[in-house]
Amino acid sequence: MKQASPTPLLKVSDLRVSFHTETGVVRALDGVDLQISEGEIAGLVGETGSGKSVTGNTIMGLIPKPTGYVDGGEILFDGEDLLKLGSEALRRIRGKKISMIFQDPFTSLNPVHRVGDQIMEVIRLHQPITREEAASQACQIMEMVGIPEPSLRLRDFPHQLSGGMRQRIVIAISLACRPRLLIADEPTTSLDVTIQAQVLDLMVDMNQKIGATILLISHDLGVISETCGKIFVMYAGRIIEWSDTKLFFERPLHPYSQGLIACLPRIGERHARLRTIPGTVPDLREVPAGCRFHPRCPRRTEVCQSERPVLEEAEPFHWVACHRWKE
Amino acid sequence: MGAYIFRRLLMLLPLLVGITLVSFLILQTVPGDPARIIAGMDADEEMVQKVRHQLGLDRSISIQYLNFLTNVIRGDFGLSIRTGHPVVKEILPRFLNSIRLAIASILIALLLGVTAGVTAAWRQNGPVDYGVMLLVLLGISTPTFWSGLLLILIFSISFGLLPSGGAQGWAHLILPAITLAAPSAAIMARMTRSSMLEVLREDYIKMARAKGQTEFRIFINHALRNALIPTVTVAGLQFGYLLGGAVLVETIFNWPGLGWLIVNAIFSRDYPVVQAGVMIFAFCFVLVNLFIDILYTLLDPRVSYQ
Amino acid sequence: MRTRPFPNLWRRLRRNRLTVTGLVIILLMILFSLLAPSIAPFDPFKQDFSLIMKPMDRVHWFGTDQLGRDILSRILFGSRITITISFFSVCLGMILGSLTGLLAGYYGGRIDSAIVWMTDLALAFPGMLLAIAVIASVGPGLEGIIIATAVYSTPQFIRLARGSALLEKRKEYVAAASCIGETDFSILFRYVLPNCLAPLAVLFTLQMANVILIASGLSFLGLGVQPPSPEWGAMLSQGRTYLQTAPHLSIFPGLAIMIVVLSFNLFGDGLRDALDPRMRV
Repeated sequence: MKQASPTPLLKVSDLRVSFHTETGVVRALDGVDLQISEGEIAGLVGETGSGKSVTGNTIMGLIPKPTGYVDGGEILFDGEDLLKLGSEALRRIRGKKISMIFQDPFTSLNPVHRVGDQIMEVIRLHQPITREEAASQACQIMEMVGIPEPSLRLRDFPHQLSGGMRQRIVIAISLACRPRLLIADEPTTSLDVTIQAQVLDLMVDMNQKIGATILLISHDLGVISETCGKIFVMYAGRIIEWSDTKLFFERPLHPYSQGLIACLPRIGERHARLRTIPGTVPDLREVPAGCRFHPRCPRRTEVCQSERPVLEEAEPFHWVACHRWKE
Repeated sequence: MGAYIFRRLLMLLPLLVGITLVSFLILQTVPGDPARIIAGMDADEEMVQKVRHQLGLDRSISIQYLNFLTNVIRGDFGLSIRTGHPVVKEILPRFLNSIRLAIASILIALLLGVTAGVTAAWRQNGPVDYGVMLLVLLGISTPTFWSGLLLILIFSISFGLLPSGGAQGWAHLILPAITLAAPSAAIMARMTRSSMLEVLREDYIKMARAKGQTEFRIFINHALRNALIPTVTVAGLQFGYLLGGAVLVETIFNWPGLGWLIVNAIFSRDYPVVQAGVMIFAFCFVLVNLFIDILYTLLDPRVSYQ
Repeated sequence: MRTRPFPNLWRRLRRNRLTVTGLVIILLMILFSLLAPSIAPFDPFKQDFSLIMKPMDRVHWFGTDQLGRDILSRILFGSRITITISFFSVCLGMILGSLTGLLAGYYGGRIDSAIVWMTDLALAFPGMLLAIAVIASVGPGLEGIIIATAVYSTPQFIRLARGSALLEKRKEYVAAASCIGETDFSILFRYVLPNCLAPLAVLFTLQMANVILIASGLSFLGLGVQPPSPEWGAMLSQGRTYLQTAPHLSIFPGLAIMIVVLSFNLFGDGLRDALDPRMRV
């Protein structure tokens, strides 16, 4: 695990995003705070509907414009606030300095374009080079992500490749320009378990070889625990706890985090039923006041229902947003 | 590939045979005695008998059909009752005229339709989008035999810009081609638009944005390239309809095509011409569809012809 | 099992103003055709040579034609012809087509193959051409036009009903129903048919639009309703001769056709969106 450097590569502060739909205003992000240093692999974990994908999309500037609206906050990347950049400047950053991969590798690839062309597209977008040079760079990155016989694969179409191979192509596309930050949104969710392991190993490998900082978004605690040095837990549009991964699993502080970990089935354990967290994720059109988790929290008190908890440092490298974490 | 085409043609055989059957039945179901119709209304009984025997109309229906079928395969469509000349000779030049009109129309329809559809999808729910959708509705609701007259009124009569009859040169092609193209252009605009909107929702479009690609290139290289596939299919269908449906436009503009010939033949009871004309249009339609299917395998890499 | 699309239907239909406009025009047209004898200012057949080809004025709102007949009255009476022909033939097509399609899809086998072959055959002819071929056999006139347009509209209904039957017959509730001894007919009518009612309704509306175009086209060519009937297509065909001198003879009948067809298309599209935006008819 690399040491954290003084200025974080990515610093998200109080990010607020809402979606204006026919049925109401959805407050997807309500004050998200993130910090990732260069070279780290950070994990963003949360249930469906917690807003983790929205976070990734907002950093990339991919929020659909008429419905989605950034209400406030800051996204400092390498010192620059991405939210203040014009669309052309953002476009130049995408793919080159920050890139993103999505959940389903099959639908992420254009079915009528050859795989090689799709890799070369991102290369030629950010560098004025010839097709031949782009092709050789593409082969290079394909080799690095472990695709056999890259020069032959260049002319393949996506439907001719297996699921694991497609995800490698997608990763190759995202790393082709050696970006500083790679956002991976559920990269293993639609893959077989065996392929999952390979892809995760690949990502850790790339982090070490190329030095790509990774933000791994997932609902799977297991995936995050294996690859990430730092973990951010998200609930209903807010970060409710973040820390060094080892510390987190040793001592989870927020009741939600404790619930999440308790839900993980462990080999050798004997229980009559799987443990769950009672209740469901709130409808983001009508969020509870105060701490958003309080309706489901076993430790709630009066103050939890009215006052929103702020992130405080419980110990070095471990922050939590809860009124009653000390217990 | 050749084997694939051959196989598809083989599969079409029942349909092609059916077309000849339908065509054959036209003469059989005509009110009145076919032999008398062909011999002429004022021919005497002996003449009628002679004609009946000559044309094999005194044999059983199945034998008649078999004769008909073998003749068709040999390219012999009989003699025109009105002129006495071989039907093929009458039909061929007219057929070529119809094809000319249909090709001009489909090209105009593609150009107008795809452009309109893409423009509408570019700014969905904007004023251009609503405008295009309105034009689409008008396009499919306006009878061609009326829009053609209106165009003649405006361009030929009021402003004397374009000729309104005959097929002497390029100028004569403009008005009929536009009239015929309008409904097809509308359908293609709608198809392109909805196809584009569907494609724009796909993940690979998001991926292209994540690469930092410009919106314009995303639209054209990524979205349109995919959206065109179903549009081309519709274009093929439209071409078939243009062939058969041009009869109204041909009538209005005195365009010497096969459709007009068929209608006149119905009035003059020249049934061999009607039969041959109907068959040829139907064959064309079926073959165009086959062509489009084959084209589809070339356009979409996911579809192979194995 | 059964789909009940109707409760919210009216509310959803009402939301789209264009759809409502379409429906209003259709209802108006039906109203006009029913009341034509009472509200038409003149007798549509009455010729008056002193009034030949008068332009639009206060007495004759749409002018008069080449035989001195009032065009407005002829258009009003023409709506009866248009409605009758199209309604009957689309109904015919729908009843014949759905029954055939349901049976073909449900029973399968050789009957199904034969019906599929015939449907494909009918659809191998471009629409107008098919109608013309039928007219060639049965002869021009009112009956000819109804038969021709019915033949034109039936295949689409067959395809729709057959597709629906194929889909539903694989579902478990059908197997369950036959297990408890329900007859095939009962299954078809109580379960399969209601599931395709929605797309059938949309197809009916859109076919009305198409059939009106085809029927007036046939009359325009002289293969359909004959003069002196005030059928709109036939009126256009006569007006064509006088296009240069009296364009209003041609403008109004065509306008009438366009407005009616447009309203059916508007309503049909709106119906489709209200029932299920993803429906492909």
